[in-house]
Amino acid sequence: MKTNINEYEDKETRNIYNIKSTLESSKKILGLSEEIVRNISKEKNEPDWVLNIRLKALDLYNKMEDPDWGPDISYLNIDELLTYVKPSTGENRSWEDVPDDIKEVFDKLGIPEDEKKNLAGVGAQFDSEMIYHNLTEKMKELGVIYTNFDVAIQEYPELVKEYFTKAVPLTDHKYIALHYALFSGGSFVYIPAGVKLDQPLQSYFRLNEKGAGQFEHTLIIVEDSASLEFIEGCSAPGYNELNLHAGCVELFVKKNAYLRFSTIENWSKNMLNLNTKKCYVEENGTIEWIMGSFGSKVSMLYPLSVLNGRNAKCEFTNISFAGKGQNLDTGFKVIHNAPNTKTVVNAKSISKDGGICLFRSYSWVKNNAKNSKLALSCESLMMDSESRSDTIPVNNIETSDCVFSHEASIGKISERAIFYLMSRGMSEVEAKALIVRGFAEPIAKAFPVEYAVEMNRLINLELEGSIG
Amino acid sequence: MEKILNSTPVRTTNKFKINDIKVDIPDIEFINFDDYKIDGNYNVSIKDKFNSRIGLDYNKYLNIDLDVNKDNINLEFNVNKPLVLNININSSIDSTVNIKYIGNNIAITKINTSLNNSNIKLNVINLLDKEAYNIIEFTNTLVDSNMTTNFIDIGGKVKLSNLLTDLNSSNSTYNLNNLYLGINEDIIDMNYLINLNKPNTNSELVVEGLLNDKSKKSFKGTLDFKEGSSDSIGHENENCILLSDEAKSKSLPMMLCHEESVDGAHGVSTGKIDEEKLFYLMSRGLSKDESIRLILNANINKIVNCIDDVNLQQEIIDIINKEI
Repeated sequence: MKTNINEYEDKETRNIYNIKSTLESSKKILGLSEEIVRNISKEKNEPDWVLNIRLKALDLYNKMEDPDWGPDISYLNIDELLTYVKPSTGENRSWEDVPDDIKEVFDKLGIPEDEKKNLAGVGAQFDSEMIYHNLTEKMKELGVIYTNFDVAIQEYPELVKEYFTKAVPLTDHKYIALHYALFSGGSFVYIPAGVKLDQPLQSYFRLNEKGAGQFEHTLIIVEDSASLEFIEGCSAPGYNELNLHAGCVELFVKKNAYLRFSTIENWSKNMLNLNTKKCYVEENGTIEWIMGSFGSKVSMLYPLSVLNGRNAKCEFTNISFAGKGQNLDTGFKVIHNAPNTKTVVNAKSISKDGGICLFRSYSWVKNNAKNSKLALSCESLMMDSESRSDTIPVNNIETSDCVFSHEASIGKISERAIFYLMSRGMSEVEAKALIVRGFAEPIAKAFPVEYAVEMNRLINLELEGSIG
Repeated sequence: MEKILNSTPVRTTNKFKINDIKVDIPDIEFINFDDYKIDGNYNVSIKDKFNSRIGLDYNKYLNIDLDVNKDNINLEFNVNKPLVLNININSSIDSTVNIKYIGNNIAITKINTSLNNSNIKLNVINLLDKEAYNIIEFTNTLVDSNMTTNFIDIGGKVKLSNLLTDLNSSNSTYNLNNLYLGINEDIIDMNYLINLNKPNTNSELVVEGLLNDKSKKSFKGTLDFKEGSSDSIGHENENCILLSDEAKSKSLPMMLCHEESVDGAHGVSTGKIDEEKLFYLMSRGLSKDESIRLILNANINKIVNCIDDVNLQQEIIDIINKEI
């Protein structure tokens, strides 16, 4: 069964995200063909081994079928999509060198402000290319690499070759094949053994061009006993034409290493978000996923953690908020492939005004994962009966020596709670917003504080839109 | 012949191998319905064209129309020859229907229950031999009625079950209590769908299972709160104890919701026997084996006690204890 949603109008409530840069791009490529793929590779002056990956991926894309499950995305016509949009600026090391028009967009999103205050490094992508990457001197001295993925291919070819496509293979699904044919931009992060970053790195992805696709590739390697917090932000202004985001994130967490990967996704509601994320975790390593999905017309996003080493851990914390016209099909996957591995999942969703939130998960405990523990919890809040909230968890347990539990619940806001708050002088809107913020609070706490504040603001905006 | 059977109502990626089950089902060339004498005053006939949601179709089948007019009906099938059976239960009185299977062959059954303003308890007990097949499909349509199905599925090497319940009026209730046992290389596949179509409907699914040796089980249970099912309650709970490290358990407890004002919850737990419980009992002087048996019997009894017949309860417990 395919889940469908009706066409919608973007009410442009997410005002700060709706800034449109009028800056002309220096190059735009429409559609997909072998020639186009070769041209993108040539533009980036890539070595043959990278071009070969692109061509192999293109061939796979052409042969593979759309998934026969999940939201309907059959209306996506790749021939009508701008598959490569080059901004009229190269990558800059100084914020001052970024063209004013682009700078204004990122300034309004608060990116440089954050960098000054509390980030070890910042990257910013505009359409198909990174336009800014910077890392503090202190980090550079420690051997940390944080750069544009295209640059990494040129400057660190051996390192890239060792890990690129190794977590997420070309064959994973049709849209990862499309990604590998067209990938452009993204971040490459390498944290040497023993280096613990006390401030996060943040990459921000902005898709400005209407009718365009963004295919950034993020590759992060956290070596033995190192630690990193990485924040990924995504947004786009609203258009009537369909935009596509088919990014890929490959993460490698080595022995005793720690990685917290936070994503705030607030794509506009004309976006198909078909992102793929995967993490390999070695002995005593920890991956923490913090995800907030607010935007996009359709999302299909299920980060996979493979716990390959003894005592490896995965924590997954997610909140989805689907409003009118949105179909957010999100979730997670985990494979326990070693003894004493642990997973904790805390997922929440809110749906309103006909929005669809679907939580899909896959938990696989292999026979060698003795003494594993998994605790999964999903909670859904429905604001009205036009909306949908579905839970589809698949659990595959192949050893008796594990403790697995999954619980899920669906409910509405208690009318008694609203009545109580209203009797204390709150309006209905304020009362509902307070309760929803309370529902989301355990997740909000996991986000960086600026994002938590932003999330609460988005909840308020969404609820006022529904009632006011 | 290998067939793809028992498809889920909502599909997920085929990579998870849970949408359907591929299983060898022996061909049934010829069914001699004379082998099955039905005692009692029921309307029994042989009919053409047996189609099932589970995915098996046959040319002929034995049909029994049970117009329930007394408070207790017992049917027992000694399945030593293939059996393709359809039972239609219509009831307007409160009653209990017991259906029991023994024997060593293949039993393929559809049980259709249509209730209007009545309460019924349906006990289906599969005590087939180890090499048998039990394939069963329940279809329940309830209007102003309450129904409980107690389904004990312990016999046979292949156990496929499919259940569809439509709660078609307010204040209707459907409960399922299901106990399964997997031993040797048994294959168990359960695919249950409860549609809560109207306001104030209730449904509770309780599924308890034990898997030993190299047995494999898939549990697919769906609660679907349709638009208009306001103030309905749907709970689903599956608890699977793995007694062998080679046993495999898959579960897919789906919850679909298109109504704001409902109380929906599901829980699944899979794994070994709770070590804290074991420790407690052993610290009270019981041996490890005795403690394990006591814990397992507590789980089994949750379902078995739902059947009123004490002798039947004991028969079921004895069979399970012998197997594990």
